[in-house]
Amino acid sequence: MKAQTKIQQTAFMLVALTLFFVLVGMFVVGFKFAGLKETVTDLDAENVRLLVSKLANSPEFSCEESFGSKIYCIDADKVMMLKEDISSYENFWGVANIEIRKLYPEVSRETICTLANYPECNIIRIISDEVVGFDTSVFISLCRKDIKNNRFYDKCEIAKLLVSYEKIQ
Amino acid sequence: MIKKSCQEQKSEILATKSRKAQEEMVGFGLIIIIVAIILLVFLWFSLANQNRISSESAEVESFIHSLLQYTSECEDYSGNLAIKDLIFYCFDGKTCENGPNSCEILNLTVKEIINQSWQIGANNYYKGYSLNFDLDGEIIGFRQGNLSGNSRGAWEEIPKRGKMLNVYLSTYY
Repeated sequence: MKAQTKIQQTAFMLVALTLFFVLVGMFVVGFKFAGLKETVTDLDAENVRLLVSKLANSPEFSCEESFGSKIYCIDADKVMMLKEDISSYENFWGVANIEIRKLYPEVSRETICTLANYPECNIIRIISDEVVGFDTSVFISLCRKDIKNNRFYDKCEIAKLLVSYEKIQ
Repeated sequence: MIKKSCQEQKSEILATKSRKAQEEMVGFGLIIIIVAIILLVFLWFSLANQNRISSESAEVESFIHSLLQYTSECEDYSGNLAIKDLIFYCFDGKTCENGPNSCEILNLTVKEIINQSWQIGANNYYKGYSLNFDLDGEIIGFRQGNLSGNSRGAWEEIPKRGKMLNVYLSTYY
């Protein structure tokens, strides 16, 4: 009788311990998987952040030698030409929107750049799919060749390169 | 005599039982402590993986680069100066060819650029900033807002004419 009780006690203890560890395991797994979707989105955001930095320094955008090999420098004249031929770059960068927004000097009214109003404008929309999602940005120097007193000079302004990507559903 | 030995036996059994119960309690306590430690380690690892400092400071770094390359209103014989050159001009106490004092232009332009770019304010995400141009210990500093709490920063080194210009920017949120 005593031995039976002992066995019963041990069995109960084992069951209780197993249940306890199962619960702990479930908590751990739940905690890990709860953030999985966010992790995927975060990874995407991180990739886009890296992509933005890469874009700013890629040959299609960067100033290269025209403005004295600067980093985070975008050649505005080059970008305006790229915008006109953007259909050749469909899905090349794998993002929904690419936009350059001039921050300083401040403009009185927001104007989207076209070949007709350039450079008297402040937003260059390179790709614009109007996709709702996250965007990320880096500061850039938006440089162009300007003329003053019949002399060309490099004019660099402060702008932001914004890239949007679709949110994972 | 027999009665006494019975009582002794009883008390011995009781003592053994209570010792066993104590041992079980200690064992259970140990298990709980071990599991708690495992959970804490797991929690620590989970939270430690959530840092995004490097990516955020990339934004500050890109801002410093852009700021230094901005074409200012100050002119020398070769044309308009970039902020990077204007800082050296200001440290040298020079005046711009087109009239104004280089330090005045630097002061005004940098403040305007930062306000336009970061939107610093008590009700905004960024509460304050601190920007220093340090040329071999000589410092030109800009500060605004609340400089306590969390911060993100970056710095840049520019060597020129045997001197080293260090640019530090911290944004507080």
